[in-house]
Amino acid sequence: MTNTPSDHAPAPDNPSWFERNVSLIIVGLVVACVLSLLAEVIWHSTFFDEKHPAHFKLENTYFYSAGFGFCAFVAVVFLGKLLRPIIKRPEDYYDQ
Amino acid sequence: MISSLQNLPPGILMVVGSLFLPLLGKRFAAWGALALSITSLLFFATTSFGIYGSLELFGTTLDLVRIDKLSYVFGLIFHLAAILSSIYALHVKDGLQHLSGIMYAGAAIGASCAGDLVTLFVFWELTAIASVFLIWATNTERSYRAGIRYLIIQVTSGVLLLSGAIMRYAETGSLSFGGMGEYGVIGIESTSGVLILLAFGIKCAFPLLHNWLQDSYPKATPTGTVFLSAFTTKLAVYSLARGFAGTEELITIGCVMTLFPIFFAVIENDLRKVLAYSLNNQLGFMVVGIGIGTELALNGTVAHAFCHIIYKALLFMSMGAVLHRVGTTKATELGGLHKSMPLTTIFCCIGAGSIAGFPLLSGFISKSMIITAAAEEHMLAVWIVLLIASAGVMEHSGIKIPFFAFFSHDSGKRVKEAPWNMLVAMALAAAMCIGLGVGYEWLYALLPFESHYVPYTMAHVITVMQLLLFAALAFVVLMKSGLYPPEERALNLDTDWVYRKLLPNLLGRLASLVKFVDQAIRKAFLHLLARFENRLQSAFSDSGMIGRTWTTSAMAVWASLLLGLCLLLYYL
Repeated sequence: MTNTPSDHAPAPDNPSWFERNVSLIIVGLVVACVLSLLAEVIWHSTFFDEKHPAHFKLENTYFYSAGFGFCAFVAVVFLGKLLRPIIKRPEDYYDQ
Repeated sequence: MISSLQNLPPGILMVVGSLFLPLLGKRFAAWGALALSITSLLFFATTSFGIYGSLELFGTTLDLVRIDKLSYVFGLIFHLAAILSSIYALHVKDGLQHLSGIMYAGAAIGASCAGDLVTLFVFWELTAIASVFLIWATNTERSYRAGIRYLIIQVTSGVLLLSGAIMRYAETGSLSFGGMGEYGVIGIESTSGVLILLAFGIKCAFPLLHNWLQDSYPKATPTGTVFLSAFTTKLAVYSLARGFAGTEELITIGCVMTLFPIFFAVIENDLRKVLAYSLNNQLGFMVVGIGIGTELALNGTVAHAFCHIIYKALLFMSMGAVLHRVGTTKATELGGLHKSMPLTTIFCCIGAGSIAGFPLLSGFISKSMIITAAAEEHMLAVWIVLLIASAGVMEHSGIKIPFFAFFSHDSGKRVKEAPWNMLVAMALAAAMCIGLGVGYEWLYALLPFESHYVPYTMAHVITVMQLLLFAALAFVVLMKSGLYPPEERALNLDTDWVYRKLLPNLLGRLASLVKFVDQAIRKAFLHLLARFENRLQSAFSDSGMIGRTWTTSAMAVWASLLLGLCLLLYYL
């Protein structure tokens, strides 16, 4: 059913566009992040009154969503890291 | 002709037709499966809303078919999922897999249009029995055992549903599962309601009842998992919406469901298992929507189920393609596949973007309805949980799946691109993800309630982009600083440990204890018996009490004593 890979050795071929431009992609991401913050500042200052009705005070705080995204991501990863030693077992644990 | 066909449950064509698929031979069974799915969809699309196929049975009326807006959306998406899965499985030569997949899909469609609890139960059990063959088709000892566990749990769900239905009939004299446009028809006020909720909860993978999903789905065949990801759990979501909309307890259950799987997904090595945890997390959003129960929340739940079926199928398809070509989906053994599977990489990224909820993709226009519904009801805690869960989705499905499979460190594996039929299925699913993200009005028109929700406001786009971009930035920071946990070849325990390790161990110990007590009793009894035998032996020996030779005078004394005793008793 499965096709075995023809070559298990490390890639002899040229690095791909992605591999050559990892730094560029990271810079692009940082720029996109900054732009999303700028967009909020402009939006708030220009159309603040027309902003969709906020249900919670938190929604009117600048950059709450950015902070949330970053902090929640880090928290999820670290909690996962804490969980690992508790539940980690060998791969054949249930076959023993 | 058409009117008499309306009285038969939608999907019955697929259920019955699937039985003939193996007769078509290895070459044409797959095409037969696709033809059946498309024909069934054409029949379904021409059926108008209404209640059909009423039967008098057990002194009550059974409505085999009830098609209203809710049933229609689920029937439609189940048909689309069956068609996508059939295209994806066109290369499979095993007739039994096609039979199983199409019968399973047909049963799910029949269940989503069932007007009474007995019809629902019949299709409910049929989905369980038909689908287990997709797990067994892997043909390994592990998949066989996982299939048995899956079947036991699914059939238990059906038994609970039937018990609840019978109790409900005794209480109310009706087996109806809601009329046209009726939601929240059961509720948890009665014991029967609780039993039915438990039945739905097992299939919906509620917390602690969830682990059959992560146990079995990653062990099915590459094509089988695509079928499995679409039907069982979303049938449960449909049933919950029909039976328990507005049940507040579901909000808490849903919140827990959105949160706990994301921690397991972070450290899971098998990417198909990561997707199974991700599925669980997405179901949480839908359960929260059902619990809130407002028109916006229910619309959000249905829209999210619709979009979710497609992007989740797409993600499972991309991992299935990797499994088909490389032979594994373990993150530790993958990486760099974008070089040899570029199209699969692109399709996977579209699926990942959809589930994460990027603007212009399907998740954006559905998940936000549920989050907004929570905000409109001023549920701050629920709203925060859903935002955290959204960042979690970005972690495990938005980044981890595509990154570790297709990018990351180059594993050096050079394989062929996925077969053409897999690519076609993935391309169609990816096109649907984009189509739904852009042309969301088409989906909103299908929803149970009139929708006034506008997803593309500047504020919404900015907040979602900030959340997702900064989550991605956090990933880069953690990777660069070496704080992101490396993938490890390991198995992570979950609740299946209880019935795969703890209970067998406890039973083993109980068996040893029973054996010990049993042996002790037998030993003591044999010891007593041996002593008794010794006594008897000595009594009957030549010098023993009974065995020795008595004198005639002693016998005469005893005889006269006994006779005297008899005489005395006679006079008394």
